[in-house]
Amino acid sequence: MIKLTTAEGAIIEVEREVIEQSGTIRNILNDVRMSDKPIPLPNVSGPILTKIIQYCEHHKNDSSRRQLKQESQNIENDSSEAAIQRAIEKMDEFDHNFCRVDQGTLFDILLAANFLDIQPLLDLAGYTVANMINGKTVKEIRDTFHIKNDFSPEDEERVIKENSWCENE
Amino acid sequence: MEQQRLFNSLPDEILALILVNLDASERYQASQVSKRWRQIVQDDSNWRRALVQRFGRLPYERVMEDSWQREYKRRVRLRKQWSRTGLQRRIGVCPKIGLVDRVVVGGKEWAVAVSMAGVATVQVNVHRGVALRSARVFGDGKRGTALATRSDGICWGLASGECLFVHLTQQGVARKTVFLDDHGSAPVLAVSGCLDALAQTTADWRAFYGVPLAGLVASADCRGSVRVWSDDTGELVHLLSADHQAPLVRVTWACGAQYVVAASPSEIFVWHLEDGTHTRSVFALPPRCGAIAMLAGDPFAPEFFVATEKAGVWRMAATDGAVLAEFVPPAALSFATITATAFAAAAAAASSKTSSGGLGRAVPGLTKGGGALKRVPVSAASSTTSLESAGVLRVALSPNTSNKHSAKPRGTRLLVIGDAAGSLFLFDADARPSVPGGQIRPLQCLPRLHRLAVSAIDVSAAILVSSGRDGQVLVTEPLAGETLSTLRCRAGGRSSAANPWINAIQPALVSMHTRTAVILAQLLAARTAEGWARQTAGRLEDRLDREDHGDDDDGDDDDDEAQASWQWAADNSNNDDEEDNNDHEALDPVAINMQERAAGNPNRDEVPGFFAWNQIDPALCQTYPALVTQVVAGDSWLLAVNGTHLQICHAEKPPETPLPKKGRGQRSLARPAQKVALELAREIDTVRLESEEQRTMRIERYEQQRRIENEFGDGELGLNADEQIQYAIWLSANQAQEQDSESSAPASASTTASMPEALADEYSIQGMTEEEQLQYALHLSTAEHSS
Repeated sequence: MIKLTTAEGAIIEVEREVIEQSGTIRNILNDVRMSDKPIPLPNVSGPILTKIIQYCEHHKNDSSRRQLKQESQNIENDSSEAAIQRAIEKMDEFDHNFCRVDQGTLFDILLAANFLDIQPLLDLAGYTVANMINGKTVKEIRDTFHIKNDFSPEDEERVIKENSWCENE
Repeated sequence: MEQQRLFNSLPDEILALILVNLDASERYQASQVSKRWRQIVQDDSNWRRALVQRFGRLPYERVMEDSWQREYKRRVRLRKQWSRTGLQRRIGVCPKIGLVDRVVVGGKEWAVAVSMAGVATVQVNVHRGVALRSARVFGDGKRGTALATRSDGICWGLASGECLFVHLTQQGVARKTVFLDDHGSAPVLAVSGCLDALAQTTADWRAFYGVPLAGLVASADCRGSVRVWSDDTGELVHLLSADHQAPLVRVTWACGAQYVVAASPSEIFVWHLEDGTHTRSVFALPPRCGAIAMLAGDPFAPEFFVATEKAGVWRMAATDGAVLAEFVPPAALSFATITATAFAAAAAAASSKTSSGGLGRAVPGLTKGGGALKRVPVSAASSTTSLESAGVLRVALSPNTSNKHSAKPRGTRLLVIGDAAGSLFLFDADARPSVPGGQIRPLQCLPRLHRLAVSAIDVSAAILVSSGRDGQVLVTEPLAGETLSTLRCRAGGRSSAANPWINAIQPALVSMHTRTAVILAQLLAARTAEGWARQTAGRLEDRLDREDHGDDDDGDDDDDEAQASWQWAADNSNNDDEEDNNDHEALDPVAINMQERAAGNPNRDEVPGFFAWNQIDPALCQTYPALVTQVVAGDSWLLAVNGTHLQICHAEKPPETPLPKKGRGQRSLARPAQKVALELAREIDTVRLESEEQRTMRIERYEQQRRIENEFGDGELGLNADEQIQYAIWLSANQAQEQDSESSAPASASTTASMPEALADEYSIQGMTEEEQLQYALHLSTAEHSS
């Protein structure tokens, strides 16, 4: 069992096998000799870590995906990206429900997954956010994500112009 | 507010990861959101990721070299264009040279259609579908048996043991013809222009070898010898021989001009050429491997690829014959008989290949002669080269190692294998197995893509084009393996059953891939022996004329053939599971016959006998209703060769370019082939290795033949070429006699003009040989005159 310290200071215990899906933790465990000392995760809050462990628990057995990735990595460096594609196709119901959270949590998961280096989760969350963007107008995107339009009107026109190729398609 | 803070706190890399999941248009929407988003969207490395996301993998070969964004745009656009079948511009062209065997594509808008048997070429404007110039290099008397093309020239090997190389200009016009007639009378079975694959990558070639391109051609004949000669001067550079007169059915080059690789049905011979000498090694093929489906040299390394019909595909080292890698399908599949192969030897080399319109293949600016070939005296050590009269040209081509990396192709070179079950396999030709001789799995498998055996394949950066024996051409996206569009090529004739000769030759063309070229030569010989040209010429012309009009704007009226080929497919459907046994069996009687003869008559003098008319079952002439024998893939166009026709398909509208000036609009074949041939013949630049006496005789004979052609025009007296020659011989004999007997020349000419045909009818039953018939006729005519 591995102990993890959340941002709030709480300690969460988790099986080594499960949390080794995180590249960051795997590296720490490989570098540092096995000890009972908890690993501090100052960027990850308790609820988010719980959620991430939940995800890792569910996916601990599908190492086939990782194998596939490693296999293809031997052939060609860039096919980790191809593996992403496959991972997305394989998105099962659990993953689907896992992402039914509010924006704030989703972004936290993204950040945590990035920090912990859990590639499938990162892909999953990224894909979910992309789905939120998909099909929206520029204004809707800005509204959804509360982004300020920092283009000057001339700039905006120029950007629209240079993007016109895809309209013609 | 909280959420805004959160979103803005996402690092760029995460935002990029999110945006990569979007489609191109969505990405552009996103770029309008804010400056930060725009910056991320515009970042080129993110476009690369988006490309992988979209197509599943990085491209084998770049369409646009400069940016991934443009690459992405271009690919998405091409994919869309190709899958929008209704908008494709499709042109059918009939160059009217009989059967089109190969097509050379170069420059922006021309293609040259080449007929092997007729030794004729026609330049075609591919945007308009107009044949511009035609040239028949020889009269009908010559039969081509081997053909090699590269974008700067065409090389024929003839049944009479000669070779000729026609240089093309950058506009696709024949510039110069060079002869080599040193194969004795041994029919040439294979020819290969050096640096065939590299013709498009001259710059790379220079960087790689540090010298200008040397124009060399290797020709292999049926008596086991290979001649290496200069396509610039016709000078014989090397005479390479395999010990036991094995018919060499394939020949290729490896590592520039350093290795010549030739294959007989059972062995592979490799010659290492250096400094006027050469060393030979022989490697045996595994037993029962079937015919050699492919022999392709690697232009950059001393390695070559061999594919045999039944036994598999290997990469071998030219130096020691070691098997470096074996290409095998994934465990669940296995090769049926290999029927078509393509090796993209020079992938991703032409960086200027923008293909913005039309045929965007880069045209090589080849410089020849001068620095590349140096004449050195034959040294005593090079005793294997049995050339005494001619000096040996030294070929100074060794890899310029300092530039090696820059010259290696940048993309993945693909090796595409098509089999009789209609499956396609894409391999990375450069993949190195973990152990030498290990197995390489394909990058992409397209099982059962075609209903029948695959007959031709070509691959460009953006599309993979393949055709089945049913005349169906498929355009496939090579990265994702997704089929974009299907085109049905109409049969060479409107009703194929009425033209058995087309279908008799087409299986022979298939044999270029699947069977030994001996059978091919035999079938070609059969075509001449049958005299189809004489019998069907008139009818054929009419029919082609009609079709030329009909095909300009290709409609949907090919129902009848579609039906015909469907029907045929139905007949075959029960055994097309394993492989098309039907068409393999079909040719076998001929093949067996040939093999028996070969076994029974090891005497070399019997070899030309192969090329006599044997027998061809008319039933098997119906086998291929609409076979496509060659496909050429551009990024936005494709070209399929189908009997007497070329089918050109543009995915996007090519730029309108004015046609060169000519007399009458579309019907541009104003100058008949014969006329052009004569003009060409005047410019023919011949360099010969024969004695002065032989040379004069030969020229005399040629002049005589030309005079006859002039005199009697296009066989208007019903003489075919052989008869014309015989008549000429007879005429000269007659003239000699005249000087003795003082009889009048014009009278005898007029009476004898129609003689051979009359003779054939009258006296063939009396069991005379042709010579006797002529003699008898001569006797008869002089008797008539004196009485």
